[in-house]
Amino acid sequence: MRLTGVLLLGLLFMMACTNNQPVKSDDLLMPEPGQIGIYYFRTSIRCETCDAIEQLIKDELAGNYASQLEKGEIVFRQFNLDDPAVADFAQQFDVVFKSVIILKDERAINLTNDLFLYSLSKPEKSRELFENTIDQL
Amino acid sequence: MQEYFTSLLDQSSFPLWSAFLLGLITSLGPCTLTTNIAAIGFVSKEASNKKRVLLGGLLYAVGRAFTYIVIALLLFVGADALNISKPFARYGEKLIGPLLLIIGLAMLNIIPIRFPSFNGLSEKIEKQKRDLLIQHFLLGVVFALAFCSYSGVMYFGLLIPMTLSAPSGLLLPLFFALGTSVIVLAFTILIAFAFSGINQWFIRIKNVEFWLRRLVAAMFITIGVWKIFELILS
Repeated sequence: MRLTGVLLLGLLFMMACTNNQPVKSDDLLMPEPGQIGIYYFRTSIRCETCDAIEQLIKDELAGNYASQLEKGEIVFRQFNLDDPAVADFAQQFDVVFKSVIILKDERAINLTNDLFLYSLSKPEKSRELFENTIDQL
Repeated sequence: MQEYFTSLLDQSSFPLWSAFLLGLITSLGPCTLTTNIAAIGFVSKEASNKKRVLLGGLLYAVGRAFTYIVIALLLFVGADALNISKPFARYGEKLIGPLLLIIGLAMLNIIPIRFPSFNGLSEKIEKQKRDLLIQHFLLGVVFALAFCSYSGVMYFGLLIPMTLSAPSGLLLPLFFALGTSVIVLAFTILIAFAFSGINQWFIRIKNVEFWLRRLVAAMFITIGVWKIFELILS
């Protein structure tokens, strides 16, 4: 009985520490011509790396790219891959896992590997890569 | 620590070393770390027997390597990467909770799981030893299959393109597996040798393995239920 109590307490503690805000999908639209689209494909299950990537993008958009975002030159959209319609939409970008795709006109740049590799271990490097990608478009 | 290994990876120009480092970085990611902690618990339930602990850790690593090499082999011979990775992307992350729960319940004999019997082999190897071989190997195989976003990106996004282009090819998943298992192997050695010093005292305590097994099972069930709740609440 005591062991069960400890287990339940531990479980409640772990659940309290879990961030379970649902990931909602934006409209399944492509960016307008000339507009830069930052498309973040996620799943319902949040993870530390995924949240760090979301924060990085939001920080960059609120800071360095605030005016472009306001003018509509940049658009940020998040999608939940657990939604079958999103999974179908994502196929055109060869996306099956959580991914970050930067789009402009006919160009699509997949930043997933770099952001997953660096967003927690070297956030400065991931910011630099993100900014370089946006700036070169 | 992740930052240090990522810097080493940035500087690496040797594919085998890069694959190993990539595995090491992956092992520090949330879900590989969870499965590895569970694996350390699983291996350590045999703590009173140094050889079995060492063999268990090694077989777990071999199981992981088996999965990574088989998937890489399928892609190497031309299978479509998107089709292969899709089920892992969709179900891998969701597999961990139920998997840990089932293993925990099986360890408590609440769910009976019978391992396949190899008739010829079973005559030569005693039953306990054979079960040990299969359980640890299968644990490695199944835990490697439970890709989450982080390990999925590291394996399919970074390792596989390296595997398909590097001359050392299929050796890379082997080194990647070694990297992902290095924590388990290190703890296995630590547990085996730390316990060997107090082995005589340890052996004298009756039922110690019985309670270790229950403790490990409780850990599996707790993490499993937590992961399932996480899934339900998401």
